[in-house]
Amino acid sequence: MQPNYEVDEVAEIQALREEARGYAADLRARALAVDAEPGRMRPHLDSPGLLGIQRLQPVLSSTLKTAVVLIELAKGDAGMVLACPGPALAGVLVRVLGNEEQNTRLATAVAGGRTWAFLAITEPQTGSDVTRLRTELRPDDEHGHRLHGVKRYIGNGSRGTIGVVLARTGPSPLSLRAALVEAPAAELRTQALDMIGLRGARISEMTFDGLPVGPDDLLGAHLSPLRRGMWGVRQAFNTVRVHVAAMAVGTAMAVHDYVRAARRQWTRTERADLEAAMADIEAVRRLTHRAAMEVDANRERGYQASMAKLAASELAVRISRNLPRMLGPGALLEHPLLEKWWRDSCAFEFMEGTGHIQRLHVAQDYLKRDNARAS
Amino acid sequence: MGAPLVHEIIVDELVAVTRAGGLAAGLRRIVDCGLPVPCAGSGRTLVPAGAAGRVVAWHVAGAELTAHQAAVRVLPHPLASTEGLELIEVTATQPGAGRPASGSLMVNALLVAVRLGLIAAMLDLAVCHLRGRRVEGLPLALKQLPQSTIADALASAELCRYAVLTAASATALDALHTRLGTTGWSLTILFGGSGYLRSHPARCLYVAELVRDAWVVPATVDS
Repeated sequence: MQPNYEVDEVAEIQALREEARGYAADLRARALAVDAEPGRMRPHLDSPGLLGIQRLQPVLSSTLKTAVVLIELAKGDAGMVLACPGPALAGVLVRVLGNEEQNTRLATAVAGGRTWAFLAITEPQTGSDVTRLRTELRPDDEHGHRLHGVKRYIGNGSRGTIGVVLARTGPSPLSLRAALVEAPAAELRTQALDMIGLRGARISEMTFDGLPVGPDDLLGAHLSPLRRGMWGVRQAFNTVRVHVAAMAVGTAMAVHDYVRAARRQWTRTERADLEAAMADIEAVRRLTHRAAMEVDANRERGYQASMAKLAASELAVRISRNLPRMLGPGALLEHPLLEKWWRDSCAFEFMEGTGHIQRLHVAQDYLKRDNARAS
Repeated sequence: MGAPLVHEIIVDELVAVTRAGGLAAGLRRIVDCGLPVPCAGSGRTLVPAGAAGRVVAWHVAGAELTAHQAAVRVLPHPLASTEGLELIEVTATQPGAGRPASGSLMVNALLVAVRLGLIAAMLDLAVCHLRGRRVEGLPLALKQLPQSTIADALASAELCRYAVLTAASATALDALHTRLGTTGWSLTILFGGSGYLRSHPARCLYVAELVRDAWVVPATVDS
């Protein structure tokens, strides 16, 4: 059955969109300060924008509602969205794999709007290819397991007080497990990385030197062995790819709005260029909504999520690089927000699998369905 | 088609200088040619750190200011400084100073050569990176998708090198710079998340895009 993507007609979603839209201006006003000093969040923690994001709890809603909210928030600033205290991406995986107690533990740890959570998947040598992760959960008589390995490019890694770490207990595909761990700890070293953009996300490196992991820390114990590892991770990835696509769409919209408002008069050709850019953005927005609905219908289906992530990350880079040129030479130097959004837009390419990975997913899924049709 | 702006010997030399020494080295060579450095309407532009004093003239808001007619102020720009450049703001020391600017086609053509040098250097680095990463037992450099990117980048760079030898208009040069930006981005992606670190050499491709932003008049504005 084709999902109905005329989501504008759904009253609840419309209300969420309006509420999120109301926070965008405050997020935008703080964006450059956080970009310059991502470690200095205290002045922003009680701001209307960050309090609004925490109220909306975007990652804990349905994928479609989250996508709608994230697009509006990212029209304010995606870097600020990712700088916001809260469960962040860890919330997605704990929802899929965690039991009630673990969900409560995460929610309690980040309640109050002063603490962050991390989701540690990516590694220096293997990227986000979870089939080749090297971080290990080694057996330990005292605690059950100890965590050893290095994670890299982890949002909130250096400031998170709780998070989920993906590791393996052995070489088999079923040995992939997710552990809910807390920080700081003597067996955990973290370092914020100096990134080109999306600096509010406080992307970090985390080194685990035998961090104790108890039985209650392992996610998925209440699930069958087949559903404790890769099954849940794949669902989380499908969900988060839609989130990334939504933020990319929102960033493209922010650039478009900014450029359009920066000049009073446009030539006919320029107006046509702006309209063409908006049509591109709108198409990817609809694709992202469609992907969100597909994930909500079945979190194991990632075809549309990969396609949306691929299209949206390309869109954001293209729009943020080309549209500012309409303001004349030096637009990126004269409009720091445009420069920031251009740097930020490049980050979407690297989050939860590059475009190459998404291309493989889209092609392989299509071929699989084509084979099924042929047989 | 107008007369060629640059000879291939100059292009190849600039490519080699930049490939070996980086963005700042290439731009410093352009500055030392004695050509006016283009600025945005507000007077902002990027130049190699410490090179502003060697600039003979500036193009600001349609006027060509000699070094004596211009005041230069250095502004903070953390990303540009990691690549050995500085953001400066150029203003006329007296209202109405300078003569009408005659365009920056030559500088923009030379900037194409500089960006070709960066692409060559980053291509070398990307191939090295891809040889060191293995998937399913094979180096990434042997996988079809990365090879496709490498082939497209090589073809694009080669075409740009030929095109800059004949390009003679602002529109043509702007299109070349757009192409170089796309090619550079395709290479940046090959480094994965590491290419998004400020400490990674691929940052030169980001900073080069900022130099293009300041130096090259967009075709939409020019036409």
